[in-house]
Amino acid sequence: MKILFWLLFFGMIFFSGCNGQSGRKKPLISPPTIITTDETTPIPIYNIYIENSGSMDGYVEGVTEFEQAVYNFLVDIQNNNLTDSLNLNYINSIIIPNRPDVADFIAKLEPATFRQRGGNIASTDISQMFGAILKETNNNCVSVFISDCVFSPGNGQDAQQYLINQQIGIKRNFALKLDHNNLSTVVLQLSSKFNGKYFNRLNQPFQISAQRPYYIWLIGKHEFLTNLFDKISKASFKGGGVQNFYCAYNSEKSFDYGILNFPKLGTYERDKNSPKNKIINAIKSDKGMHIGEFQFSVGINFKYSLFDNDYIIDENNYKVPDNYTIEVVKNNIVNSNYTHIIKLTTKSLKTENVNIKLKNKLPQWVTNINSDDDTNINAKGELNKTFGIKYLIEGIYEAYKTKNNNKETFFEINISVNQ
Amino acid sequence: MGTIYCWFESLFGQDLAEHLWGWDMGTQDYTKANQFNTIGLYMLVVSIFMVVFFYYILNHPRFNRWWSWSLILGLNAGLNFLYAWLITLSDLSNNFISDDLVYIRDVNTNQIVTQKLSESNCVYFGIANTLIACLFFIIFSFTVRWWSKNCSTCPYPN
Repeated sequence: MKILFWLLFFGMIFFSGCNGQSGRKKPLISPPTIITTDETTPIPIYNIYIENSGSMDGYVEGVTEFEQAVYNFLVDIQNNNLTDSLNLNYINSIIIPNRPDVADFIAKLEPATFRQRGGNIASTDISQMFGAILKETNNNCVSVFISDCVFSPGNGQDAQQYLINQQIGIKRNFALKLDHNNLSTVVLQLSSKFNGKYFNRLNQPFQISAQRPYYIWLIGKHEFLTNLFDKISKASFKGGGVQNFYCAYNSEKSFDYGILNFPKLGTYERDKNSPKNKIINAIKSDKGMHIGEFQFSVGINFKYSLFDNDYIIDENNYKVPDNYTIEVVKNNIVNSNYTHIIKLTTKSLKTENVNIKLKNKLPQWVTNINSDDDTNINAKGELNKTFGIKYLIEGIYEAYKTKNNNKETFFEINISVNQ
Repeated sequence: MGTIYCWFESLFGQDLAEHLWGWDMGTQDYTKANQFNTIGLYMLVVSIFMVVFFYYILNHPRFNRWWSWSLILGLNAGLNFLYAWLITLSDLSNNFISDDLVYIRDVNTNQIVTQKLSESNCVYFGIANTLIACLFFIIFSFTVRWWSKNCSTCPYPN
């Protein structure tokens, strides 16, 4: 009898378990390498390049949103101590340095000054400009290129062939640079009043006064760019603000993520040994309008990703198992580690590894803002578009994709779901 | 010890269980102290002491009755209930429990939608600890009573 009770006692202590766990042990799965900013990130040099070809005159005629946005951006860079050294340049066929006085630089953003600065302002070779900028870009600086990014094939040129050649040139320039430098590239699309001559693909001038898109490119180490956007939000850009955004970078990074205990349908527990990526005791919902469904949520921190929020929350940019549907929402819960919540729902719950991938593809706005023929700039919708911009951005996209071993995804995470 | 307490998880709730396992919203992992072990150890020590007290310290023929034993059992239950209840209530009151275990918040507005964990969960955890304490008291009683001079047949003869 005594022995029986001692056996019962020790048996309860050591062999019982409601979920097979016995407290915290060393995790079975190593956490991914987390992308964050380094608080000791060195201060880079900022090299600013403003295109001063003839097509840019309309942006600087009088006081325009272009000047306001650029001036405010440069001042913000200085005020936030993002650099100790801000170099100001014009660029067309050559780079033309200017003295590093931001106020003076902005005050002289006028068509007359553009012509005085020299170089070939009659045409725009975007591939050549990027080549020149990339040559000056290294791991210790951030290059900022501001341009309307309108290609100028000129009269007599096959526009399509010209654009493809430009795209190949841009792709080559970036690919060569990325072989030796780990750089990210960001493009911001803004809009400004344009009052002047617009030169179409045949180099024919059109006098227009309208809102036109322009672009601010940033090329530099990822940490420098995340630090910049941490201090200068996209919402703080003057002159109408940032309307569209795209970032290309080395995709061999991952983001902090973890399973959340809500929102959910049904019930589940986080595995004590792997709480971030393993679910146990998953049970479908057995009541209400969601009877038979199972949903779990994963929080993910995109704070230092430079992904545009519109891109993140578009479920078409994700690949998940066929038996799951996905919804991504921005997370505004204070004190949460995560910027977004991924909700996965299924009607056929089973034990499996749920693989979630964020696709690496160009955002839709690139296609929407692209013009294939600006012969008549006054045609409906053309004023808001940029001739050939898709070729430019695709060239950069393909250079990065090649560098990333042609991966179709920015990242992927695996959640083990166990019933 | 947490595994034993998990038998009663449906009584006091998964969210309180997560807290006692050591869930930390800041690290998204079980990095805080495992309080199941602390509370369980206290429960074991008190239960053993109460058993030893009854059979070897009190140890009087007058108390060799089932109701005397039951009184000590009840005292043990009460002490363990109080301890478990007050520990968890203190954590709840002092905001030591991670926010994501206490509340469901709207992801868009951060407003509280539901409170998942309340004082009643703490009471139920106290009850769970009481039940486990009673179980161990009974087990300890039947393992150590044999050598008691005056109470070895309590609560019932062999």
